[in-house]
Amino acid sequence: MKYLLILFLLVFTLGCKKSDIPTYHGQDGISFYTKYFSDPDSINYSFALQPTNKLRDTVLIPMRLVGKTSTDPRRIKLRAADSSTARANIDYILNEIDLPANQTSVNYPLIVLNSPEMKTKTLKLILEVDPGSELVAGAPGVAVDYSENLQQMTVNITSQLIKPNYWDNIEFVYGPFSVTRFQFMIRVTGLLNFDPNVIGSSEIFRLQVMLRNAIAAYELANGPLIDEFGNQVKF
Amino acid sequence: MLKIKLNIYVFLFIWVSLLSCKKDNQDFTYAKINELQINADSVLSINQFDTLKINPQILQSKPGAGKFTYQWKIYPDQIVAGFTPMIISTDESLNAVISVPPLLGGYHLEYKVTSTDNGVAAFKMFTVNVTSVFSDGWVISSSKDGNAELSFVRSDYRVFYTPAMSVNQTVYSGHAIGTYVYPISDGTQLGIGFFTDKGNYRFSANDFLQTGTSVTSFTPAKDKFTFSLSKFKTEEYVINDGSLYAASIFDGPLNVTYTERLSGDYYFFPKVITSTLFNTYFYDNKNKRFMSVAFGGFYITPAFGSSSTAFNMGNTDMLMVGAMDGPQTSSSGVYYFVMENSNGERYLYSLSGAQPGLNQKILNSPEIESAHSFASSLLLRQMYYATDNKIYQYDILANSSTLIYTFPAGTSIKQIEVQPDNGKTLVVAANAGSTGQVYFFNLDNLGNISNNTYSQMIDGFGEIANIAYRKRN
Repeated sequence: MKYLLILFLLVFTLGCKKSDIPTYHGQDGISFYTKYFSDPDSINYSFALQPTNKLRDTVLIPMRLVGKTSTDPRRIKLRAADSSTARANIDYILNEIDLPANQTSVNYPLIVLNSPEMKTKTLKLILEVDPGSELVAGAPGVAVDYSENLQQMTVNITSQLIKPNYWDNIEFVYGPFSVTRFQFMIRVTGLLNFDPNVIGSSEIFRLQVMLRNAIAAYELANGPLIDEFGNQVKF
Repeated sequence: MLKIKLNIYVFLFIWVSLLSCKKDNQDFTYAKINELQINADSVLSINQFDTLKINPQILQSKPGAGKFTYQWKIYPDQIVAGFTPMIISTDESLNAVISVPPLLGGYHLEYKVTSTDNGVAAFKMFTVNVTSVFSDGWVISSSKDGNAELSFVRSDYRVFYTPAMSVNQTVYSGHAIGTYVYPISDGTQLGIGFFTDKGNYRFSANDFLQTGTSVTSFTPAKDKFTFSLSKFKTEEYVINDGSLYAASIFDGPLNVTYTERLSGDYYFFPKVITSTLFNTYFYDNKNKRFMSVAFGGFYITPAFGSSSTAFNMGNTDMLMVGAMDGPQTSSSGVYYFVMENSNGERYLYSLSGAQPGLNQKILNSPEIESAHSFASSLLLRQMYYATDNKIYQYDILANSSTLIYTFPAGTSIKQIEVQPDNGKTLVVAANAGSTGQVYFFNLDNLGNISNNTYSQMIDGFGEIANIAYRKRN
């Protein structure tokens, strides 16, 4: 009976002991990410779409912290995945950067180089976090705001005209992408960038009328304009 | 001994258990708080930039018992982009200049009195209708001494000559082509467009402050020009010398650049027909048919016609010589048109939404063949038409007209309008040489001019190009 009572009081006492809530601790990481309805999971960069001739340029790639903030800056090191066709220090340069103290995101400045091969090719650079990086590769997944962490980010680099990232937002006005269509648009408007976020959503409709009139004049003089897919260019 | 120990343990256990059952006597101290009652008129109206003074009477259940902080916060009744609630005073009584712009629906003014003793707050909500000095009336575009002018006649007949020039300290050179009032900011505010042969400008209707410009690739042509927003308020249309130009205003640009001429084989009568929400209609005097532009794309397409309706919208075989606004709602509208066949005979058409309504040959109407300005009654089945210096009233049901007013020879009627808000005033803009006058005729219940003459005449304008009604916000 005595032992039973002691045992009972012991359990009774232990039951009052405050226990810590167990939490998971892992190494802080860094991840590429896309915003829902906004950024694509790959980036197209063309030297042909820059307002001036450039031998090198910087492409900003958004990355965000997966883990806790720190009062100290932490190194981020990226590498090219094996399946990349772009060549280090010929087509691109990857520098190590810091995630600044107390920051949760950073734009990684990828340096792209205008190599002769880009006149005829689109080179693919598949970026991932280097295993030796102080901030390791962050876990992939979808956040509550539908933004998504990615383990890799593909950058297509060329000096040819390629489909701009924003084309999906203007296709309902200007039609499906083709190099022929895009060249015609550039020639008629004098613009290189038709991103509604840059020129304004109202402006894309004004330019549509300009292009429609221009293609009518072109057809009158030359006949239909046929693109590389065999489709007639219309606006 | 063992039994004693056991009893001690049992006693301790019971004691601990009983302690946990101890009843909390819930001995809180209650004190009645000082309740406030704020007395003041709840609905207020004030001109923008006037000082609003409110001395609320605060009744306390325990007079003199506490100290308070005060806050006056104002915010719009409807959500307006870019407008955040503003604290305009922290004094017990309000004495503040109301600088917020007039908005449809007005503002809420929240008066908060907080006890510094216990943090309990009492609230009083006011409704504040902010009106503009230029609250409602007629905007007049005119030309004088080589300059284009914009004036305003308020509904109480107070006249503001060239306020746009004064407010902006700018002279608008050239000749006035037209002025138009249009909704901005989702319809909570109004803007004024002003087109001249030397430039085009946009103003806030609240204060005539210039807010931007309208860029065109053409020179606006006198008497061959019009402007309007679509019913959906996302596109602006301009007809100039038969050609249609457009601008999308999805993102509310301050400066608007119009498209090139919208392609097509047409010559439009200068009237934008916003009779439906998503289709805007135009009339092609070249091919004698209605055409339309749908929401979201600047394509002109011929209107679908049917010979079984009052008239075939796709082929009327008539020239349009006049167009009038009938009753309008936010999603549809009624329009009346004066049409002319190849023999010079005139007909009255109407369009309600996209549906042809009236098709009536106008009979027993003197000088109808030379009438150039028209206005439909908004209350009765009547129409007014004007020749150079005469105004006739046309009774649609009786199909006959009577002369209701004659101006002196030398007066040239430029435009007639029925005041949209009440339908009880006929407004006539007229020129005598290079000077312009605006006449206001009260209409009686039968649509006749009261006392057979105008109730107000305001002159001092240059040669009037057009007038446009600015309704109250």
